[in-house]
Amino acid sequence: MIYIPNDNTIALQTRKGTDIPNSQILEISQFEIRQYTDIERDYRYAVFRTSPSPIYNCHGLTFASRRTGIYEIEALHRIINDDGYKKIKTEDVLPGDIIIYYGENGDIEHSGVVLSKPDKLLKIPLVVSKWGKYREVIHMANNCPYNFGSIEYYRVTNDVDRPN
Amino acid sequence: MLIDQTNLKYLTAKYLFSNTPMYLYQHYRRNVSLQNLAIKNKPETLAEEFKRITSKETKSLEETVTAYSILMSFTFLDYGKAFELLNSLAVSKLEWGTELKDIYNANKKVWNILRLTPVPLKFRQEQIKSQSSTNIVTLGTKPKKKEVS
Repeated sequence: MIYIPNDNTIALQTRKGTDIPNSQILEISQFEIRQYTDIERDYRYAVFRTSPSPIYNCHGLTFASRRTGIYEIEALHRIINDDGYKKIKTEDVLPGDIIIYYGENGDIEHSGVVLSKPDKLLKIPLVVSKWGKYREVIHMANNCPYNFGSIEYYRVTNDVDRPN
Repeated sequence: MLIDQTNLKYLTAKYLFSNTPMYLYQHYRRNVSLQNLAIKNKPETLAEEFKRITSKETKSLEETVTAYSILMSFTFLDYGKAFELLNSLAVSKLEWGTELKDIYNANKKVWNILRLTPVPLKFRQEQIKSQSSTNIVTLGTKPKKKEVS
């Protein structure tokens, strides 16, 4: 299959050369920005580290270096599999690992990058993630609009050989 | 106002923080106010409101959320009506309108009802020609005259 990117799509692949569907949203309205600002008050202990950007979403930050947004759940599973991500136990989590949040139906609903080891008492790390079209946020993993009740940590532990 | 302020605030937050269309779909499906929206309003009325909003060049955030809410409220109708409505509307005018429609179509369930009719069992009993007292019962065949050696 020939992958033809459109104006809002870039060439993006997994380690094994599988195309990753992606899309860059180009607009965010002032209405939305104002509303986001109101909601910030609900997360007083979070640090909002960038300006709003619709170009990439949380998965674009985690898996595509902020270049574009990844919106298909299937694509995320492909990336995790092809790139050699392995599940990590909470007690073994280190900075640089990724955190995946699952919704109640088991679908991936959010992702981010771990910034600190989980604290010994509550076992909750500090993470950075992108909240929708809004800003990148540094927050405790349980202090965000996503379901912390079902999370997993992953790390690329070894290289995956690219087939000839 | 089609949706009360409390639910509108909830739906707006979910819209703003959606990272994928599936997230928006799942959380809007869980919101009871959208089910009520479908029950308390005529589909044609909701469809007209959807068209009015999506025909605007600049939509307020409340209008955008309302349009998504109307679209999702149709998924609570019976499949035939929902299919008809979703295909009649220009859902692509919403950023994730097409994706939400595709998710709905992919998640529709087809129910098969399997009705089991009890079948009378016939069996025959024969005694093994030995000193043992074991009986062999074979199901599904006509009864045979008992032979005793």
